[in-house]
Amino acid sequence: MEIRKVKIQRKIKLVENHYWMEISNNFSSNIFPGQFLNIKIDDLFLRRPFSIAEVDKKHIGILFKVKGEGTKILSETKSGEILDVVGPLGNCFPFQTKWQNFYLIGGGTGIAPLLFFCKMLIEKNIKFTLFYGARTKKLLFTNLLPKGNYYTIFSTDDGSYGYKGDIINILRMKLEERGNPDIICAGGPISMLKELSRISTEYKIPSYVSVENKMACGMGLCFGCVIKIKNKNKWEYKRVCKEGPIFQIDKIIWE
Amino acid sequence: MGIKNKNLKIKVGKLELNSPIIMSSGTFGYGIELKNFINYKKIGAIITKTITLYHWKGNPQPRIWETSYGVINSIGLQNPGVEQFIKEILPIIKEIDTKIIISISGTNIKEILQLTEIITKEKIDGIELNISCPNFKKGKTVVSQDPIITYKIVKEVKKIVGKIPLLVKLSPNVNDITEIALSAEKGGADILSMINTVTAIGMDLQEKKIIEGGLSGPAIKPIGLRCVYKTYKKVSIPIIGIGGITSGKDALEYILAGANAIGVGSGIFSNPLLVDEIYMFLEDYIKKNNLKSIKDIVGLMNEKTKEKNRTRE
Repeated sequence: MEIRKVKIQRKIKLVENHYWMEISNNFSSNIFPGQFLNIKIDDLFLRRPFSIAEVDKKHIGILFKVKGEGTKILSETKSGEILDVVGPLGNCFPFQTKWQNFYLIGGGTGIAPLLFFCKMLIEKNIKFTLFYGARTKKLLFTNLLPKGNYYTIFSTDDGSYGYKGDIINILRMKLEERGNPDIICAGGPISMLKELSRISTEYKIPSYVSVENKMACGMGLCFGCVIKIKNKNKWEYKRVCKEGPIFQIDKIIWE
Repeated sequence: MGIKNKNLKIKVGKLELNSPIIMSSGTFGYGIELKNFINYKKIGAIITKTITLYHWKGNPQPRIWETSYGVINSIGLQNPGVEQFIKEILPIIKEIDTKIIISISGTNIKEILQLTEIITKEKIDGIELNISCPNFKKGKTVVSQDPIITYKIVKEVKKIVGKIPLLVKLSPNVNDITEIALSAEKGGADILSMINTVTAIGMDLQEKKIIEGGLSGPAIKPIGLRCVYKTYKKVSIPIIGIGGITSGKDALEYILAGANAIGVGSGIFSNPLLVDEIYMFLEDYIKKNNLKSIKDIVGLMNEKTKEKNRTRE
């Protein structure tokens, strides 16, 4: 965890309310897929957390959608401006060399941490399939996908690109066709993650998901961002920012 | 590298602190999360997250609501209970080179006393009795809102803690905080911590939910400052000034109002370097004003001090 002043190198409006932003990588820590940054927003008391979607020596990329005041202000920043950023924060997607076949699943802007994960798997030369769904074609940011040799399966709710329907239903179909991968890693809306939770149990596939929540500190200090996590036959509140944001899906009690 | 400047060392009651900067309860995790950012030699003490006799799960979501210049929280004192705290967390915190003060609370007096018995057996530098917890009641009255109950409870707890410094954390959600402060002092409190959060609600229009909790952040600084100012005039025990401190200047104001030390709370959420900033600011202030020690300015802007100085003349 470091605190750095970084420069906005590039900011692109992808479509209405959706942005891709690249900031200078002034961090000396190693950064892993699943981790996030906490960005200071002018005029707001609390920082805002963003999944890291891309990393190289010179820059870090984030993908965001305007949801509230913080993302609105961030969307109005310009290239060249300086941001105050804390990171990298949180844990990361699990990785074991014995896993030879990954399924990565991204729904909407929940794809962000998986873009980074894709790149890592490509570099490690590991076989994987990316499932990527969105409401409609223009919200499916295929141009952000890292180049490499891997399978892609797309879906849109309205059928304007790829399969028609929820990406999770397409996943179910593919599991029936092809059998189980070694592991599933996913990010997306709660409804998608809940459905994935059922599939993971049904097909007995170990699955890990990136969880989003409102945060106050992002550093494990306040216990504001907790979710219910199973512990033996009980449960306890765990911090999304510290013990997460990546959790094993069958440990999560959804509310 | 040690801290060369000794001017920021200050004695608060019996506590000899490296600096007047204290990490307040509930906003500094278990004390170790920020180990990469914090030079522990620059802080006077860490007050832990409140511990209760038994494990408290804490409140359901939503726990956090941001407001203009502040944040409302409703965490609900989530903690593993004293037994697990002593076994798993305390040994890690004790490795930190600073004073460790344990914040305690409960739902009734019996629980508090039992907890106090257990925690005083540990090697700790102080105990902070958090009477402002809304669940800590005697009958239907929240302890922090009743001077007589406050007096009785502080007295009972002090009997058990003996020589260990006892801090009492006061709530601003009362008619007259000085009345409660006097009761705590009379009951045997060694130090007062003030203020806790200010009761507030936030409204989530999207989810159609009300978030009820305690407001902290810069929005409450003038409230905390007033409480310290008014209380300093009436009590003779030291005060730790807490509430909305986000700069060295804020810290200075609390000290000038009468605080011997200041507590950093939610200000650290957005600025993990806040401790350094406050430290440098106070160090600078002392140099510029040719002061021997930070204690020379405690209460300097308070009428009480002015009056004393007048009498001397």
